[in-house]
Amino acid sequence: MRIKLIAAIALSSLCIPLFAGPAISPYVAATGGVAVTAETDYDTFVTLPAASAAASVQAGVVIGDGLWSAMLQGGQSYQAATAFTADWYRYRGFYSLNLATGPRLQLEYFDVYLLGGFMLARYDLSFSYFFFPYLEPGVSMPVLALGDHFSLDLGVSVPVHLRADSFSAGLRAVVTVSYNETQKPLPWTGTGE
Amino acid sequence: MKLFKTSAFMIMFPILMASCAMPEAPTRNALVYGISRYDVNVPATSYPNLTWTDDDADSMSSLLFNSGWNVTEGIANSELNSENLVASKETIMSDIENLKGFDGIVLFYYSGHGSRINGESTIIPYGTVSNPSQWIRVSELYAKFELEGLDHVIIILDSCHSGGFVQDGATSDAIPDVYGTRDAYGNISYRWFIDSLGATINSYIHYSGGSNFVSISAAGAGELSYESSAFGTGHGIFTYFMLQSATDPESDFNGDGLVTSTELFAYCAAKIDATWNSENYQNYEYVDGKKIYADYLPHLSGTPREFALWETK
Repeated sequence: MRIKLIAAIALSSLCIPLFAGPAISPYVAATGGVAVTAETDYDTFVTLPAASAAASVQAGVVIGDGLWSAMLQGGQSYQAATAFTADWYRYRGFYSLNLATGPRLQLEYFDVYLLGGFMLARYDLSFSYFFFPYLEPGVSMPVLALGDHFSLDLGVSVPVHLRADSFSAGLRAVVTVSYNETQKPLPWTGTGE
Repeated sequence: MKLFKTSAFMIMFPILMASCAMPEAPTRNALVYGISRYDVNVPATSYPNLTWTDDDADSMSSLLFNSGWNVTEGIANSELNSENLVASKETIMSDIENLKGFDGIVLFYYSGHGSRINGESTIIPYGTVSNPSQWIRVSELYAKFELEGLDHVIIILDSCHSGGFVQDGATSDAIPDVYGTRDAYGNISYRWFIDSLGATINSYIHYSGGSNFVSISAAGAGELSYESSAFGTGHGIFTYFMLQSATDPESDFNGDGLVTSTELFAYCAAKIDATWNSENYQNYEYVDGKKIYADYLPHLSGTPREFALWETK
């Protein structure tokens, strides 16, 4: 099952160039939000879920400027230890590096995307390293034009961590600064100025 | 400006909300065993007897009791065989059985001899030192807890080869089974984060469920742990620093007033490396015909969970 999951995400990334176009728009992003974690064997949840804070910084490129484009993103994340459950355990915090690709659909004022990739992580205060695939759908909207080419976007994403021994899902606010050859239209002005 | 404030609030609000108050402590039971007198027919200072393992257990019992745990103690340090049976295999297994169905937290602590049989680590209860078939193996101890329906188990072992009781689960442990600056392959693996990629992918693919018990060992599966008069009034070195964690603010890495199983491991590992290892890395013994240097490190299981153990004073 896990080999198939890794293969599916890896093979999907090979299809991403199908969505690509000639334009390249680099961006940097910061995310922050909450995540809920529980141990699972993917048939049932075997422990109580608990919530924690999570944040990341990312850098990437959007390849293409048409209706569909391709995203390639990498960065680092930190998911804090959760709150303690009633049984006085919690889920350990960890630091991770990630790499993901995915298609992006550019609507008039919104961008909708689905990233799929992998994380390499280490639990806090330990020497325990682990690997897992993840998915991250999201939506963003430009809210501020910065000059002729840069824009500030705000959005939300839902990262889903498919760890071997547990499952995490979160909700994050995403702040992105991107460079665009053609300035993005803002929802309330309809222009890039 | 307003947009920047809004953005910052959207990012920080969930972080602040995640800092929830600590729930009331659940019922916690500790099983504490220390064996210094393995053979009453030889002097206390002669092999196979140990010196401070009974003091380890006595001190751990006090720490746990004062931290709100219900403690069942089995310390074998008597001249009388009958009194030492509190740490026999039958008693240990019976004590676990007496917790059948308990849904709180169980902590199992042992200080005494440890060994390996066919590569599987064992602990050696009283009365079995000359009978390896009666030693408690990893599989046996884990199976006993599972048989009695105990889900929230913490295993802490101060014994030789105890790292075999620590399961990596879905992770890859960068500390080798034999840690040491002069041991072959004894250094911490993964100089760079990315170096762990191959091993972690392998761990992810081959993870097959395993136990979710949290376990901390004094030493790796292939090495010895030590006791010394130079640590307090005489203790196992790993246990000494466990005891210190209750009063040393350095053990509370996040300053929340609690020592978790992860913080305990990190604290003990750092302290052992800074003290015992720095003075003994050149000393060695022969284990199964192989030269093993005296420096060692604790190990921590790769489970996603960690438990709050005790408050820092």
